[in-house]
Amino acid sequence: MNKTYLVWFAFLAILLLGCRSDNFNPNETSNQQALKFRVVPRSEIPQIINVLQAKTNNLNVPLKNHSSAMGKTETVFGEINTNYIIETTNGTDEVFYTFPITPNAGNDGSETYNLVVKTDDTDTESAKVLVYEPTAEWAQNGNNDYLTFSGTVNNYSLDGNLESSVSYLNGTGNCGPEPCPDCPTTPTGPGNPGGPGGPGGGGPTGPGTGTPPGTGGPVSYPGNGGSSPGTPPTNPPSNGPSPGQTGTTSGGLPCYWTCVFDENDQCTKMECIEVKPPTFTANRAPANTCDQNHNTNGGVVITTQQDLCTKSKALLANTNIDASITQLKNNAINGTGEMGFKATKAGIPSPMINGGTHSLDFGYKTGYAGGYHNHTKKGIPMHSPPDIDQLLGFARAQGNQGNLTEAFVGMVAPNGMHYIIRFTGTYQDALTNFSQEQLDKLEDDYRDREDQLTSTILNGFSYINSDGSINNKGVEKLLLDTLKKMGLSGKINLQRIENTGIIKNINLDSNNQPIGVPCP
Amino acid sequence: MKTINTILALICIISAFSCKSQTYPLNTDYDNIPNYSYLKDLNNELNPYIGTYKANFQGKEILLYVVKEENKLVDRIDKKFYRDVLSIRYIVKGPSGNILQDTKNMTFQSDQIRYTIYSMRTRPDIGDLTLSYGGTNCGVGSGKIILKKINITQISWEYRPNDTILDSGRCPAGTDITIYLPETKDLIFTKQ
Repeated sequence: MNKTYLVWFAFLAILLLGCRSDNFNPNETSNQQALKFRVVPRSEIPQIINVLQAKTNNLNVPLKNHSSAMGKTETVFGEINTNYIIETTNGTDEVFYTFPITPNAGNDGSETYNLVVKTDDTDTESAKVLVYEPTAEWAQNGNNDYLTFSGTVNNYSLDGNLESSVSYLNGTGNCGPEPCPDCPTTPTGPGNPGGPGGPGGGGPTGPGTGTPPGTGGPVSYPGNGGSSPGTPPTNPPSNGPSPGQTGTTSGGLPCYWTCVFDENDQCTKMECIEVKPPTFTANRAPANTCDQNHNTNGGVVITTQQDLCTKSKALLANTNIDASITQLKNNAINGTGEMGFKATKAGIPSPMINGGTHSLDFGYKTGYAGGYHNHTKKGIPMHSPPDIDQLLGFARAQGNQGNLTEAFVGMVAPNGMHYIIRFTGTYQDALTNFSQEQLDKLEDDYRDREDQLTSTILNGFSYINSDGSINNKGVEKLLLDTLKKMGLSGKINLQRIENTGIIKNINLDSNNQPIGVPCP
Repeated sequence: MKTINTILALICIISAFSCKSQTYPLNTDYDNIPNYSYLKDLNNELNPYIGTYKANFQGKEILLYVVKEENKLVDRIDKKFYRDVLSIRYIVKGPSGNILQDTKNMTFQSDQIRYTIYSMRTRPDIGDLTLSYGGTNCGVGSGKIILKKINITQISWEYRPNDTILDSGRCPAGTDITIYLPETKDLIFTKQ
């Protein structure tokens, strides 16, 4: 009898395990819908790449129309990324190639752009741009599971014409007439986004070289050639590449030139910062059951993990978030206490949370990427150890399968200082647990260090403003040193938001001093 | 045998001296000293503040009890050192004389931070003294206090509380997080 139960139990366990939705590993084959996937290098499909280059503007395609801050309608372009391509076969002669597309601007981070190329035995290729526009609810709670996608999938031709539009609810498409009459307007033409740099502008080793070679690691000028000794730096330094121009590191990696500002916000040095390749994630796509003739869905959706600059730019460009931050800034200056709000991954702010005179409770974090709060007039205008601990809480709230780098905590102070800390570690890092006693010790040290930094006897005027209060450099050093003491260096990133809107990633240089590198 | 005893005695004496913590002036940067160093009030800069002081603020009476603690262990996450400090305990009374908060009669653990006020350093160029307050319940109100000696019987008070984010896991709803210390600048305390 017991044996029978055991057999039934084993059978049920197999059934239940079989029902589990495993994470999609593109390096392995999948038998769902008889589709097989694999990652292919671009060198393996030269014909496809050549066709794409011929049909697009150097792999740039129009994505959508976008209203600029000046009220003008602009076309947003995206670049087809050929570093991560997934091949899908379905047992017929059809082969699909899915590419991620990185928008150049105007993306709030909620939409996903893919290019799907379909080939068959006739050796003809069709290429479509698929735009996944999720509902706010799915963006917040969908956990990137595209098999349960809710939202709209728009299908564009390479020249930006909308060909079909399917709305999805929980992974099921609504197969109505397509395209709908009130679908989004089509872009006004491919245009030319300018492309990634180009020759010209002299490098540090002399004019006409285009992309200046370096002497080791990131290249920079003045410093290793380029400007004459004794020549005062200009803003930016002359006779070199301009900010934003692409270059090449000494190791042959692509980089972009950016200003390194001194404490007076003068661009005294240029550095070529390595372009970090975006991280891609492959997800199973919702079934395309509406129109087999438009079967351009390769069964996979490639999402791009945004870099920290893109994330913060998108966050601050969100009008709802911006309105809430403005409210916090006003409260910091005119209010009598702390206030804050939380924000979802899709950039939806929670109602404003009223705190005490010097305290605030964000409450539960599930479903939220991060939170913003204001500091008051008398306190230190920087994130404190409990703020850092809260960031770990937001990271944990993303779940060990979620994108932890969505987690952030922002702070605005009455003196105009505005900082964001972002989580960049692993789920294991997010599990770092501080006892109340440890937090008390860290806070005590934080206060003592602030006092030490502002002591003119110990540090002169390096870390203070003319009124004796701690300056940007001081609070940045305080935060980065505190992260070290908490064992979180390299796992949490600090960003300064300047009044002009420029975002700078703050790191410590070789002399252990804060240095701001502007976002491109 | 006598030689061996002499050598052992010498070793003991040398060990005792080498184990003794190194002494530095009170305002030395504690990041640049070895563990268990001693930041000593070599010039007795803390002594003028010792005593009991009283002030009234917004209907409340505040009593400060300022004492000096020598060679107090400061136990940080990544550094331990000794420092001469001023320790302040306080009693805050309401308009009717009711006690709102009393840390004078609290028992503090040697490494306790909450409710405590310990001096950090003197600022001879400004002529004042900075102290670190561990905050009230849940650490709310932790911040910096600045005392300045005005004359033999009066000191001036400034309190700059920091801002914090609470975690309901550590600070349950309903906890009294009222800050009772006077959040103000230039409040005069008179020696009793």
